Amino acid sequence: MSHPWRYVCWNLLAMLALLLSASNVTHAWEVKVINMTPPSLSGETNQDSEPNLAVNPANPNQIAGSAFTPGQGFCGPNLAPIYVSIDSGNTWALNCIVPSQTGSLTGTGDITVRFSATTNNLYAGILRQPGSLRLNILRTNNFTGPAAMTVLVDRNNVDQPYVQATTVTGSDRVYVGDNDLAFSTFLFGPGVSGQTATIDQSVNANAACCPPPPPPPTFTSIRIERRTTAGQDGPPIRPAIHPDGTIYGIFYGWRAFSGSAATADVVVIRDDVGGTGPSPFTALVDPGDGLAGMRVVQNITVPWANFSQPGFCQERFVGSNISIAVDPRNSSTVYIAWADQVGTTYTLHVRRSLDRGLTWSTDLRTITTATNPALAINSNGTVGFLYQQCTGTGAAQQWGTHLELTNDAFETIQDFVLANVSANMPAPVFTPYIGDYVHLMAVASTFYGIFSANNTPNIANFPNRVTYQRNANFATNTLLNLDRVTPVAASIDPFFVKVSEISIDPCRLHPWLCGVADLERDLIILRCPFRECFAIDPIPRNCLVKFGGRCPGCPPGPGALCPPYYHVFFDGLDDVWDVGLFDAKGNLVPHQQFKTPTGIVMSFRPGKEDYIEGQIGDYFLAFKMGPEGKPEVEYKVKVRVERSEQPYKQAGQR
Amino acid sequence: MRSKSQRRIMMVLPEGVAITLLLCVLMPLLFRPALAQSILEDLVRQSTFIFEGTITKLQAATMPIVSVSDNTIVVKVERIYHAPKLLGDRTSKEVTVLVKDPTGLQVGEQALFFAQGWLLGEGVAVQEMGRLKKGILVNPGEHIAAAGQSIADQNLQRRIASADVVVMGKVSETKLRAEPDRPRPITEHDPQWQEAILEVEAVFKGDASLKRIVVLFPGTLDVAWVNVPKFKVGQEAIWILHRDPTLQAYTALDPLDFQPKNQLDRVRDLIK
Repeated sequence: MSHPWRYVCWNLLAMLALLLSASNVTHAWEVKVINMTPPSLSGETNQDSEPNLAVNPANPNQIAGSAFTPGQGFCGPNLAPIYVSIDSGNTWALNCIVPSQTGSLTGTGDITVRFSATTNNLYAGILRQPGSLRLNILRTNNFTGPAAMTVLVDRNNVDQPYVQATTVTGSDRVYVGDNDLAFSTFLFGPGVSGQTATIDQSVNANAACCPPPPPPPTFTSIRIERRTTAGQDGPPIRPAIHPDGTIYGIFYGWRAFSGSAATADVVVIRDDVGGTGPSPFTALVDPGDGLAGMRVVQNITVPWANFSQPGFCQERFVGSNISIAVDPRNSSTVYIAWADQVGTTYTLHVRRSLDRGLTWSTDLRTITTATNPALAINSNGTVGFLYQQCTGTGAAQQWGTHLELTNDAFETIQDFVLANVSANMPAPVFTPYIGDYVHLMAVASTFYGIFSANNTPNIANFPNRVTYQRNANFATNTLLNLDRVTPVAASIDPFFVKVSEISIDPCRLHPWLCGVADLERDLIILRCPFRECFAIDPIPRNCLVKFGGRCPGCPPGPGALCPPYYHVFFDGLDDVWDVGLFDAKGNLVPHQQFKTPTGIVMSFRPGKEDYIEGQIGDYFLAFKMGPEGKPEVEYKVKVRVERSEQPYKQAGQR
Repeated sequence: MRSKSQRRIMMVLPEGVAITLLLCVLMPLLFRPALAQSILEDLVRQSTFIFEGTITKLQAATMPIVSVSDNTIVVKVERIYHAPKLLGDRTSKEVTVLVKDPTGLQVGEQALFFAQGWLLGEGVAVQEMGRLKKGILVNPGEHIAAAGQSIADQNLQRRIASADVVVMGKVSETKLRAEPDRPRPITEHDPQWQEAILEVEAVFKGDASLKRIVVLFPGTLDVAWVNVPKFKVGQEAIWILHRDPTLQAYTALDPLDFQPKNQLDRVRDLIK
């Protein structure tokens, strides 16, 4: 049981830590941009556009990417590749596992990829070739293995499948937003509804992998449009998943179509139980007409010009630019982005809701002459906004790829220019030139993204630097073939981006307040310049915690995480020192301390709210030297951490 | 138990079944050459990388992304019979091979590998479709090339067999489709059908009296149609046309449906 003075003392320390945390603006970021074309493909000149990305939340070292990348005579008959990495995106290879058409010049039609939360399954939604609108939903449990992905769904007249996935009590839940044109009156006349915005959903998508018994995965097509349309909805339908079971979706509800533009509402739908109830995706009702689906904006103009636009950096306008992201800390907070035409200018907009989609902010951010918005929110609530902006005119046109990060709803922004490259070279081989979408996601506090752009190896094109795997000479701005001599023409390549938060120890910024807490392996060395100082030491962050089944005391239910107990042993830490545990915001973390024969043990169980898909958050140890301590003397404390499903059991609680 | 001599002549088939040379190679070569050719064609059809090489490591790989197992071996490439040009010359380089059955494999063993691509990164990994002991197949280059040509002919023959019309001609005009399109949804993948007017020089299949024929082709540059032939005024070629009941028009949607004129003799032979 703590003494009152200790409580006061630690609260003072907590306040100080919070002040330090707030005052030093600790949002420093490490940006990595990596050209994904592997060395063995140094001679390729494909238009690898429209990329997508999947990071395995259970192991962020495992990442899959996709683009319009052909098998190039390497993949077997009827197979196309995806990009795979097992080292957190530092190096990449192609793996030929996507069902396709022999000799395809683009690998597949539209393709998106996503990992489940905990089962290591990778899902893909593709438009399979040959064909133009043939939906395949695919799965593999070994994304670097040689086996072709299993076809779970195969049907026609579907456009732009965008897959999201999670895992609930061992079962993969997969949500594929797509435009089910089998319900388009333009195709089948007035006998169909014209409500084409759809989520193809499965709550047992990995069923066949888990015998016995092995029932096949069941996918259900859920129409999420409730209003009268122009005959159909727009192509993009994007789901977003929160671990508590909340699923959002966003789409353009087309109310009229002129041939050159759609008059559309931006509609957000929501389900609170993972789409498992009797009326899925109807939880959010628009008070304006009493129908499910909140119309965030109405009657906007979305241009439609399905050919390469010389005035828009060779890209086309096909109304495919929407995105949605939900705050992993609070499913009531959701951000959206969309594109429309303001006057004559194609414009991206970003807005936010704090009440589960019922009311919305005005524009928090607008970007003109830009495309491919992608939003994500990390475990600290930082919002990431990836987009590509066309600047300049004529031969001087450039595609600028930006990642903006904000912690205050875009009042202040950190803008990372990831690439700024020629938009006129190479000439388009097909459309889309760079893609109708990109992707951004967050695992814990790290953002992961992908975009496609001109691959000229010029360091000036990449203000946050870049790493190429393929052979390139940055001195001559030339790509090189396998022989490292023969020049290779510039083309469109996919680029991987990883933006990691760098936590700055406040004692590095305020050394006059702090002692020293050097961390060697298994050792903390404490040294104070004067009495009453304290030293802060970050517990190794982002320890990956895997949860195998339910833990004792964890409530069952969707999204329930079962953090174990951590027992931190400090051998050699005597009564001279008090030790406290703080979270990243400087809040004192509830824990227990016990004396041991050689020191103390601190036992705590991270709160579920601090967990995102099995990742432990940032914690800091603060050591306060008492009056018996000796300034400038090194105190060496051996430290080790054990995890346990049970609280620490020992007499002698401090 | 297989005898030593039998093990030496083991062949791994696509289904992963190891059978002996007597059953699958020598006997067929001696008595049923058509069957042997069929087996070889099956292997070639599935393979994108056919090479001779020497096993340098067992239970190993050349790429860290490969999960090493009993089935992963490292092979030094010594002679390439078929490979994608983009890979460059891999002769003398090592590749990872995922074999179907590692039983009896030894370092130093030489074989002819029929494989298709698996992983392409800093190195190359392939998965085996089949394997022959080096020397079993005499003049492998000739056999493999012949099998490749036979497969190509079979593919083209299938297109011809399913075609309604095969003609040689010249494109005199292209234009947006004249008649109203069939109903179709609004999508970025819309084909934007165009018409190519062919002035027919010769008819090899279909109505011999044809003098002019209209062929639909996608006018879009969209990714969904990038593999489909597009036509321009002045093109002279052989068209293998299929009647599309939905479009109520002739199309040539497979890359094989559009053959250069120098393939005339081949097309004629395949029609017979």
